[in-house]
Amino acid sequence: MKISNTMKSILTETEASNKGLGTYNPELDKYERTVGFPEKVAKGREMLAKAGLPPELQNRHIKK
Amino acid sequence: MNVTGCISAWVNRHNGNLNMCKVSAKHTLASLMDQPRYDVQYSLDNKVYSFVSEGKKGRVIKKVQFDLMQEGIFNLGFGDWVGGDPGFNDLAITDNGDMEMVLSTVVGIAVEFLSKNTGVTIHLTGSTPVRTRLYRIIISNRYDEIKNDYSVWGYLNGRFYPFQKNINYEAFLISKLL
Repeated sequence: MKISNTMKSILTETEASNKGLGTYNPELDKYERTVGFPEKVAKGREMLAKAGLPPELQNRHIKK
Repeated sequence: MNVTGCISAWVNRHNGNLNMCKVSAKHTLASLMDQPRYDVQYSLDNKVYSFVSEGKKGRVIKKVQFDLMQEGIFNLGFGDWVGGDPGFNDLAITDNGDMEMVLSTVVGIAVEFLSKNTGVTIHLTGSTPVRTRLYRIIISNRYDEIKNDYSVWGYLNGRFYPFQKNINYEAFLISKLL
């Protein structure tokens, strides 16, 4: 029960709050322009090319 | 301790007996969500996060990055930050004694990312089969709760299937239910 409650709190904590998790660090911005894990990305793209996305995950409206 | 370090420690402790390692993993991860999380820092677009693991080996900077794979699909990668560009080492064995807190922090970051980017999907796979299995154990242990809010798929033999416990998938797709 305790574990369940804690899990729920983690799932809802950030969702219920508009504040971000932690603090903004502009030093991290430069890494957004580089691929952090190119091998995993390549492997993942191979999987997606081979299997395709599950139908439920296709044509989802992306909102940022 | 990062994931690899923890697993390596289990393997060493039990002389490579993976069954013993599995028992240890379940026992340890049962309390994963009870662990406090490290304070994190994030980039402007919330695609790069960092935090500092503090344990018996000292302070180790961890980095989590969401790399775009295709429209709406991001790979979640994390590892030790070793400097340079991009500066990751996702095979590092830190053995810092704080694996649960590290994993709890990464889970919190994933939840944050999916919440802030409606409709996106996270792709997750381990750097090694043992690490991928650890991810599967984490998802399995919480799946009854996770499935209420998230859609989880496992990749096996060239196809994605709706997640089921106790199947050794090669990778995972996780998205928030809309």
